[in-house]
Amino acid sequence: MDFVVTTKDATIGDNRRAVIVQVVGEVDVYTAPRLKDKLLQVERDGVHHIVVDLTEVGFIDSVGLGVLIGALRRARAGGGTLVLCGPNPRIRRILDITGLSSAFTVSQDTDEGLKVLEREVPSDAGAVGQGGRQ
Amino acid sequence: MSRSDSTTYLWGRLDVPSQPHYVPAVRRAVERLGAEADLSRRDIEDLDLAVTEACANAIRHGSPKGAHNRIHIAFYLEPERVIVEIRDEGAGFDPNAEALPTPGDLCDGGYGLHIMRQVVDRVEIQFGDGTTVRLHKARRGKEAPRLRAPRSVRRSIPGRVPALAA
Repeated sequence: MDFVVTTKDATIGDNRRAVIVQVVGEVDVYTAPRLKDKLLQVERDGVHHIVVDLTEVGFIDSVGLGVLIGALRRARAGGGTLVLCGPNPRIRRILDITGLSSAFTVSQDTDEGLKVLEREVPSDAGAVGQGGRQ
Repeated sequence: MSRSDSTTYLWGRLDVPSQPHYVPAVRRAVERLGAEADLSRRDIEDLDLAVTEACANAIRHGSPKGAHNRIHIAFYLEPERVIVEIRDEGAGFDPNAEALPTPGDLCDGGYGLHIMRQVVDRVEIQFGDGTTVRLHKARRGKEAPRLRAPRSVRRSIPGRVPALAA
């Protein structure tokens, strides 16, 4: 399966910018740098509310996990957070083995992931415009 | 680290440049080996993960000349287990120094050896002529008949070998 990372813009809460990063393929020592580049680009764009959709990821190794952990750390430092969406049992197992299941919030799908972002993000963090809370 | 056990069958070897884009090919070989050894899907996935971690370590820490170094992988079948050896061309490391990072610290590295020890039955590490990591996975599923050891050998093995401590 080819490795592909795409992003989709979204908004949460008071028009705060969020992004859904969809990953397809295996995330390992070979492909993880491409995921890291995409996540760094999202951060450079000033977005710190991130859902990483792993629904189409069959495999992840510790290098891939490290990329996700680094992105979570930087998202929090920027006033946001990073939510993992739809990890398969194989990915959940490596999260459990490393103890990192306690570090990440996991959602079933991207809609739930965006709701988690709203819930976990401070209300004054990363606002880019005025708008009523949805 | 030569295998002298008469019940050990060298299933195959892979010798690849120390570059990340060869690692998926190593996984595909592990999956073929696992299928032939009648490992369960979960056991194949675990062995896949452990071998990937060992290769990642070889590339990142065991290749002083980068892509000019190579990773030497050997796949062995024994009646009761599958063994994958991954040898790099590096100077070695302290296997006891790698404690599992605390989750709350959000460390982005240092999980590899811990993962290996959790997902296979035994991890052996040997230094000298590079670092060799040997991963053992017990064949808990039914044995593949064409890969069974000779009857005389099978009779000498008293039942299944219990899972070895990591």
